[in-house]
Amino acid sequence: MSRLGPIVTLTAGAVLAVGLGVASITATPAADNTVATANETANETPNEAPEETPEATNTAADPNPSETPTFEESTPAAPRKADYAGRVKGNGGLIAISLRDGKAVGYFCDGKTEAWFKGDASSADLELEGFGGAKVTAELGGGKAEGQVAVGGKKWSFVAPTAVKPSGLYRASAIVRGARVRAGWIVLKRPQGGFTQVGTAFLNDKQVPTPELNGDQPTSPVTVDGTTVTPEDVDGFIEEMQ
Amino acid sequence: MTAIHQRPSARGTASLLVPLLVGGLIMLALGVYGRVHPPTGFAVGIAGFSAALPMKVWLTTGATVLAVVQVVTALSMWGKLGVDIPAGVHRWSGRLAFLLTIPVAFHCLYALGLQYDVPRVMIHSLLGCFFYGVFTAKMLSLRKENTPGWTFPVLGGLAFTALVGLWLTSSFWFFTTIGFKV
Repeated sequence: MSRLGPIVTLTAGAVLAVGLGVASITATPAADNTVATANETANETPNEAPEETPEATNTAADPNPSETPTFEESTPAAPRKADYAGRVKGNGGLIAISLRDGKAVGYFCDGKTEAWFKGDASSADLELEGFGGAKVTAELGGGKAEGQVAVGGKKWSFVAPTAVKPSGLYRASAIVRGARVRAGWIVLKRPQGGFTQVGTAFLNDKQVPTPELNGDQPTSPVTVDGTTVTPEDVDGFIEEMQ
Repeated sequence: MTAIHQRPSARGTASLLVPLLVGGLIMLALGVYGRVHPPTGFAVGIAGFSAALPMKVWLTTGATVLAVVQVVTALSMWGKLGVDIPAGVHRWSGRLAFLLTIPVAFHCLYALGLQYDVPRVMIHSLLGCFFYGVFTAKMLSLRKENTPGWTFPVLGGLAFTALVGLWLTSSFWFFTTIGFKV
């Protein structure tokens, strides 16, 4: 008995891990397959010429037309995982939207004004709420998010193509000696090389100069008002946003 | 005299060969999987928490508390405390601690993968693989006879140290950067 004990322990752990694996695999695919096929055929005409070459392959979905399950719902489901980033027309700001497992976060920033948004990503019609009436509505499909952002009583439209790392949304937050440091960035890789980025940084809700992220390695530590913080990508911070 | 002491020790070290080898392979396998498998950003976990991170944070904290129980009960087994704690306490607290870590490690490896870009995350990734390797080696060597006297203190100590390191680089970080939440 006691000789077998350790083996039983290890086996129990392995069985639990396998069980979680099976459960995770069966729990995920529902949202995945519907997305790309339904959307990408619908509006494939590129009416916009975004700065970034639109990625034909959506990061989230591997289109698998042969086995697309037809669900009863008419609105296509949102991708389980997707990242979009692009310019906001007419105000020089950037916007980024990321989806993870039914949750969506958005960030708008023009270097002075910023707004975080969050909401559910249950369908391809996104509606994200921000602080103080700020709002993002967007339609996902065809490798882009297209919609409108309302901040501070004004409204702009945007088209944000799928973003592939290092492009995308980054956030840093830390509490150092009782002071709360937070910062957000959007990084956009330029097709001709280099990066466009905007961001804001706050120390105890007071805006401070924003450090520039290393475009190739946006998660390298940076210094905000003398405090070293480590920017995180969406996978790193989305849990903290709730 | 010396010969009598030498021989069992030499034989004992050899008996550790397989456990250490298997432990090493586990370490390597977890690391390779974490690197090769594309992170899904999603994994099934334990219900009752607001999100995956709080779940992991609290399960890890639970496992770390049980790991302290492990050290105390181990000291008692070796007669270092002067108090006799039944061996079952050591076994079952260890089992429970190990099982608590599984959903956490599963989420780490399946949903996030092995990452190197931040020191905290890198240390956490490597310690995680190391922990399961050492733990496996410890479990397997429990079944061997004639293991050298240092086997369990060293392997158990390494597992404990790794787990505390894992807690510091995850739960402690979470509590200090994000706060307490369930």
